[in-house]
Amino acid sequence: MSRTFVARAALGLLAVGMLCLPAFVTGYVVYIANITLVYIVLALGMHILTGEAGQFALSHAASYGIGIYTAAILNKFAWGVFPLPILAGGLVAGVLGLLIGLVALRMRDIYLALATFAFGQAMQWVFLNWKSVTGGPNGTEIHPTSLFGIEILNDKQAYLLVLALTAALVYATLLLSRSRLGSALRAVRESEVAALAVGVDVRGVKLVAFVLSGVYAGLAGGVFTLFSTFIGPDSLGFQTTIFVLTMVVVGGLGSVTGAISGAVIMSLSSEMLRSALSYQEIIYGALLMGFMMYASGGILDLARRLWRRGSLPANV
Amino acid sequence: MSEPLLDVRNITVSFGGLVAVSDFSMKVEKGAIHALIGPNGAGKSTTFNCISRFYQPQLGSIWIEGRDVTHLPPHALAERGVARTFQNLELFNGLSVLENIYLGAYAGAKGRLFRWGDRSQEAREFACHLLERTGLIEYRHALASGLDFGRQKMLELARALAVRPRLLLLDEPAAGLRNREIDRLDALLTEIARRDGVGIVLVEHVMRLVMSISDVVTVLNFGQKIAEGSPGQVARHPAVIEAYLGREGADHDSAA
Repeated sequence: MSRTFVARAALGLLAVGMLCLPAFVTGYVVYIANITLVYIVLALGMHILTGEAGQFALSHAASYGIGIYTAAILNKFAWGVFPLPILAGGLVAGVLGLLIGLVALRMRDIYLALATFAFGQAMQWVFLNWKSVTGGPNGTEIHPTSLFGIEILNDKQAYLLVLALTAALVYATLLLSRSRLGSALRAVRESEVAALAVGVDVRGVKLVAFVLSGVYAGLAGGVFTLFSTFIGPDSLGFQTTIFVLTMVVVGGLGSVTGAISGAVIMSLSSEMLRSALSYQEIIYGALLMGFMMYASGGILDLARRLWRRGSLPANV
Repeated sequence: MSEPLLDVRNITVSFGGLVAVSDFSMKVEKGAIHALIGPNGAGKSTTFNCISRFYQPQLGSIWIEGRDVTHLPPHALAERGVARTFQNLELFNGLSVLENIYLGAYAGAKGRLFRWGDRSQEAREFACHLLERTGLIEYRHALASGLDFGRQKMLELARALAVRPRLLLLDEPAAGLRNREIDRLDALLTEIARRDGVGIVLVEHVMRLVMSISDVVTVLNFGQKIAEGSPGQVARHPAVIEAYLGREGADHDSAA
C-alpha cells in the first residue's frame, strides 16, 4: 500500500467527516467550522503573496473588510443571490489589491510593510466613519444571502456552501502552486534579478500576487457574510492582519498545507482563548516571535523534526 | 553578409558624471567565444549589464540577430534566446536544483500554464539532460543553497542553458573555481559554442580560461576599447601590457 494511497484515503475520510459534520454537532460547533474555513481562505491569500511571492501586505484585514461590506451591501438589495455577493467582494478587493500592488512596486521591505500598514489603517478609518454603509463604530447588520429564493439564515444552512467554496479555493491554490505562474512567484521570492534573467516579468508577477491575495481576502469576506449577521470595524484592524500572518508563520511559510494547518490551529486557539480576550494579542505575538526564531519551518516541520528525534535517538 | 548575433554599436554609459563605458562597440558571431577582459573597473561588467539590459546606455544601440533591443526590459531577452549568469551567484536558493532548471526554461514554456515543470515529460527529460551535462544529476532534489560553490556555479550555467540560448552571457564563470572545475568549464563552453553554435560573451579574470577558449578577446581600460584580436595578438599588444602591468612594465618589456 503506497503512501499516496494512504494519504488519499485519509483525505477521503476527512472529506466525508467534514460533509457530515452538521448532522452530529451543535450550531456553535458549526459556527467554529465556518469561521475556521474563512480563516483558511484568508491564510491562503496571504500564503500566495507572502509565502509564494515573498511580498508583504499588512493590509490583509482591509481587503477582507472590503469583501464583507461589498457583499453586505448587495445583500441589502435584490442582488443578494448566491454567489453574486461573494464574487463581487472578491472582485472589489482584487481591484484594491491591484492598487496596493502598483504602489508596492515602488518600494520594498520595511517601506512596503509601512505603506501597506498605513493603507490598512486608512481603510479601518473608512469602516469606522462611513456610517451609512458600515454603521460606524457600532457595526452593521448583515442581511442573509438567498439561494434559489430561500434565505440562508444560520450556520448549518451555510456550512456546505462555505465548505465547497473553501475546498475549491484550496484546490485552486494547489494548482497555482504547481503551475508555471506559481514557479514564477517563487522565483521572484528567491531572487528578482535571476527571475528577470530567465524571463520572468517580475513587476507583472508581483502585481498578480497582490491581486490574487486581495481576491482571496475579498472572497473570504464574502463567505463570512453567508453565516454572519453582524460586522463591526473592530474585527477588521491590524490585529486581524497579524492574526492571519501568525497562521501562515505557525503553519509554515511557503506551503499550502502549512497555511491550512496554521489557520485551523489559530482559529481553534482563538476560540479557546475567548474568555481571556485581553491576553490574546500577547499570546499571538509570542507565538509569532517564537516560531520565527525557533521553528521558521512551521508546526509541521517542527513536528517532523521532533518525530525524527524521538524515533532515531542514535542519529541525532 | 548576414547579421552578427550580437552587435553593440557605440554605447556610452555614465553614472552621474562618471563615464564607465565610452563609445564602445563589439560584434559577436554565432558559435564564437568572445572574451571581454581588462583591469578592475575597466567597464566590463557595465558593458555586460547593458547587453543583458540591466543597465541602460545613454548613447548607442544594441542589436541582437538584427533587431534593436536597446529599449527592451531585461526579462524580454530570454525569449529572444539570450541567457546570462551573474558575477555573484544569483540562484533560486530556496528551490531545488530541478526547479532552478525548470525556471531556466520559463520563457520557452509560454502558454503552458499547468503542463509545466515536473508535469511535462519533455521538460523533465530536458532538465535531466542538462544536469547530466553539468554533473549535477545526483543533486537534482537538493536545494540550490546546499550545493558547494563550484556546483552552484555549474547550476547557474545549467539554468542559463535551459533558456536554450543562442547568445550566452557569462560574468566571471570561473571565479573561485578550482583547477579541475575550470578544466571542466573549458570543455563545456567549447562544446556549447562549437557543437551547439551558441555565441558566448565571457567576462573573465582567469586568463588561463580566456586564452584557451576565446576566438576573440576585447580589452577594455577606463571604459574604452584598447585592443581586440585573437588571444595571441592581444597578449602581445603593448597597450594591453601597459594596462595590466603599468608603464614601467611596458618599458621594461620593450627594453628587454
